Amino acid sequence: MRRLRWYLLLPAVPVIVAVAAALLAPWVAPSSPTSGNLAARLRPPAWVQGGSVQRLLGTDLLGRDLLSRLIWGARISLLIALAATVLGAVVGSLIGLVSGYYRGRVDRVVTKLIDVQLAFPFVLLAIAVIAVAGASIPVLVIVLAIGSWVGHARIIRGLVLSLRERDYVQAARALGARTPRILFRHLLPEILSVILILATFDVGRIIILESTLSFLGLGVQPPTPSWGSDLRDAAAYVRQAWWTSVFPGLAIMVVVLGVNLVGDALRDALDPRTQSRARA
Amino acid sequence: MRGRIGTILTLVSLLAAPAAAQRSTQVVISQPADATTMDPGRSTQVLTVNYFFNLYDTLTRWDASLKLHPALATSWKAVNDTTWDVTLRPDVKFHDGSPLTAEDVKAVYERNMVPGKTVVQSGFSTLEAVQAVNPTTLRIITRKPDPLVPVRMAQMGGSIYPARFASEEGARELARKPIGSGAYKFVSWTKDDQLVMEANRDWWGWNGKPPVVDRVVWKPIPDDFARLSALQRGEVDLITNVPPDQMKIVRTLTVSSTRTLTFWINTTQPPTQDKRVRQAMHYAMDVNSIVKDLYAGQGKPFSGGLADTDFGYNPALKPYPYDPPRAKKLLADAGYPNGIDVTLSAGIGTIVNDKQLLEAIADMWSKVGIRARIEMMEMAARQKMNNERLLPPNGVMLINPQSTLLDADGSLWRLFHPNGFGGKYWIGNQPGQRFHDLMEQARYTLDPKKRKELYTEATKIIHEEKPWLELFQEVVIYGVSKRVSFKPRPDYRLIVSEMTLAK
Amino acid sequence: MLQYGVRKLAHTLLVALGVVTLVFAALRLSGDPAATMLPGDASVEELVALRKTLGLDKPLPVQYASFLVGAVTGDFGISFRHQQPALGLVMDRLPATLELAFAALVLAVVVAVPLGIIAALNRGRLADVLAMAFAVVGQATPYFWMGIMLILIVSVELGWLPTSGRGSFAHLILPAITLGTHFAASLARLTRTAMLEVLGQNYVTTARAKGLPERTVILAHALKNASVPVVTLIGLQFGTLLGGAVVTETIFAWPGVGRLAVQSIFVRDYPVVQAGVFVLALSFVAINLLVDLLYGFLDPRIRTEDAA
Repeated sequence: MRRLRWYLLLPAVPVIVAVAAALLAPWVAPSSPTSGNLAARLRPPAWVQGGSVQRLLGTDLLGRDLLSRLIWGARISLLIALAATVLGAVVGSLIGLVSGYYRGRVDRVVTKLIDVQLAFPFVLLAIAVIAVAGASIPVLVIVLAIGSWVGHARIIRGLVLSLRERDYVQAARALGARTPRILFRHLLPEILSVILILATFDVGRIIILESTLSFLGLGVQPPTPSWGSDLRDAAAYVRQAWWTSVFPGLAIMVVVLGVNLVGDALRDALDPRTQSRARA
Repeated sequence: MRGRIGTILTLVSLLAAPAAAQRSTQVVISQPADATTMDPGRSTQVLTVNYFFNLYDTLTRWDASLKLHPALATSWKAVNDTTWDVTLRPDVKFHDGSPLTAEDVKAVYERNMVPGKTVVQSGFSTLEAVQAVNPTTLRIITRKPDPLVPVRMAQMGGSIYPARFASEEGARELARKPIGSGAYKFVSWTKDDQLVMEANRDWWGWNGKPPVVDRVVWKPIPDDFARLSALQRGEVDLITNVPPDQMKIVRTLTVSSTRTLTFWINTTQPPTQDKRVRQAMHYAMDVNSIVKDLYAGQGKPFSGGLADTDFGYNPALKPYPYDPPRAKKLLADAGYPNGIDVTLSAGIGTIVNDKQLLEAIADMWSKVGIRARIEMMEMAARQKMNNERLLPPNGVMLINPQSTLLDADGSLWRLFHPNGFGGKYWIGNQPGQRFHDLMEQARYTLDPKKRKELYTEATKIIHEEKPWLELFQEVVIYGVSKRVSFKPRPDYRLIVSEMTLAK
Repeated sequence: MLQYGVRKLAHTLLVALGVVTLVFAALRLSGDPAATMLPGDASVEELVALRKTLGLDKPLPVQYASFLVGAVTGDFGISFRHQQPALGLVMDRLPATLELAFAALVLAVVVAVPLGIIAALNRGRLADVLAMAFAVVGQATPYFWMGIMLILIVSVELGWLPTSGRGSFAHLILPAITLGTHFAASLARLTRTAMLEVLGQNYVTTARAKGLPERTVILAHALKNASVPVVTLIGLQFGTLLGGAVVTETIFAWPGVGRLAVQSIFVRDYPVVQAGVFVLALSFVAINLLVDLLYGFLDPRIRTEDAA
């Protein structure tokens, strides 16, 4: 294991800032994210002519404080991304673990399932699910998790297929260890780092996916702020009011960037034999 | 300079090089969606219907000022209360050269009258039978007296095509390769890409003058931003559905439309059962600010259920002012001093600025204690709720109904009739209630003066009772290039034969 | 080899069948095609009659059975909205989608692979940092945002390319960039890691020791071996690419399958959605079959292994 150098953690700064904003939103947001003044809509940021210090980043389409929307938006965007990532990682890894360990019929079923999922254009699947269940936050989390479990399942399965032949696993089995014990005591710790790395990359991917759903009108319900849906709503206004879309866009970009670089650093540190196939 | 080169390059790349002379008389139109079918019986979607009214003729038609004119029918008269005789224009030919006769009209109307064969049946449900007396005389028999027969002939679904296409297989062919008698004939169609029409030089309506526009290319562009950009760059000449906020960046043509923006509410159960609650919701909405700030001033607040383009419109009814203290008081009087909870919903992408509109209203309402949860519904789910009349007790749903007949009967009564769209949500429309009786009486009254009086009283009831929440009358906004001009129509129809081109 | 082909084909059909069954079920859980077609004031009688016309009055198992029978013979039914055979509607648009996806793919490979190699060869240096920064920014930009910015800057402000539609080569450039950037980003990062891994292995060291020119070492040995994971990624990401195509086609008014499928889901045009998803799933599987064949070329050891 290589040493985790401090500067590799620099990209974590925007992520930490975003998480802090999310946690402290009620205390740090200067005003309400959902209440505004229509007459004062599309006001520019403080440093642009016509802007005011009360509205540091300007106001949005409905005259709400953009900075407050971003801060509260961090809460929703990160919550959804984290929840979906964890759900996808847990389900995907469990399926991969079981399928790789048992092989045989279980494995055949799982690989078919994986192939079906991969061959099903995600966006279409998402629309179908949201049409049925409505675009609430739990539904969005589940939909996004559906879009990410496959990656975990495939890789973990492959890994377990090779790990299970290792001597110590064979030895444990010969000694009569029960299957759950082998799976969770012997195999899981081996693959934990891979799961962690994969999950890091998923966070970024899912934030982007959420914005894609917003594009189709299937994102977080208004007036709840989320970076993706705010970016979508403001995109058409880029000519008149660039700040309304540039700031949510930047927030997404910086955090996705940060999370990915942290993932890179983690991978380099935790996993000497780079799991290149694992991600991207 | 850049613009002109851009235009030329685009035109060259867009089309299989039409002759230079043709270029000046071509118009490229861009709407947000392509037509789904060319069968006039199978769509009432405004964007699709726009294709129909250029390809097909109707028996009567509205001009841009919504005055009814003869079209395929040259005259019509009521023989008795339930029988109309219609004289058809002689020597009209379909695009394939075959003559248009009363038999064709009969076949089309009869297809429209059968439930399930088309989606336009509701507009023809008052008809009992249609007979072809001779090739140029049509007899229409209605179930009850129907003063609106001449208007019905101009409505959606009234487009005439050859009788052979009225069968199931025929319609399928028509859907792909339309044949009408209209000002423009079909040339080619690559779905979602472009549909080309060219002028029908034999059309009766040119009145001896040559067509101004020889060729029409319809290029759907779904995204508002991309559509505006295409106009700015001169790739298209005319775009529909311009967001009011973006009007400044292009040249626009506008007109107050036949559509109104309203909210369905279910008044059969608390809390909205109480008139005072409904009025409170009204007083707590600053409609003027919404129109001014969110819709760039494009919209006309209204009250009484009718747009000013409808027969029966009552100009004496003034919209409720914005008055939050009064709203609070009304809520308290109704027994809700702590406010109420409602669900404010709209279909995704059906109405311009819908999401922002709901957010703004929810914000305004929150100041008087009306707590609104917003739900943007996926279209099919919303449609199902509407068609099955399943609006929940505290539901508030954004709709923008269009007047189909430019008459209170085709808007207010179409919607509030017990079988109508909102028929289940209000007790006032039931037999025995004053509103019901007025509307029913007007429906079967042939004397316009008497009808007007009936509607004046009925609209007053709507104004007072507020069985729905009334926001404003929508404005139709087109973006156009410098060379195209026309008088925009309140009914959203885009009729190329009415356009003129600058040299 | 023949047996392998047959097995693969059976697997493919099974996957496509699974996908389509899933769509069939998911579509019917909400909404009503007849309701979306009729105006709001339609009577219940009209609604029931239209359902019957569309064949939706039959019990679900019957609908499913007739759907399966039809699907086997390539008949996906008649579109409710378009009144034309659903499969035909999809196939008409398939070339547009494939053209776009292929252009995006080529663009991504042409940009990303050299970028990844340069980054790997300059590990830790400025070129590496810049290349990877580009890649991550590409990955962090939503498709629709990229599309809108490209239209604004390249078409409206600079006036270089048309804003939307399909036709000439010029029309293809912006959508291809929009769709390809995401993919290019992940590809560049993967190429870099794969190269790094390969460069550290014995045979590369050996080749270098034999005094082969560095270019030969990189191109003939390292790149060839690094390309296995890269090709895998291409196959796997093809599905994501199709998902991105939905957004790209909408922004750029590109007449493709993705846009058709999304429109059709919203109005519950069952036959078109089923045909569309079937065709997309088949293209996905076909691409991955191609990838399997490529493996054989790149690395003879994997030839007959079932790389599921």
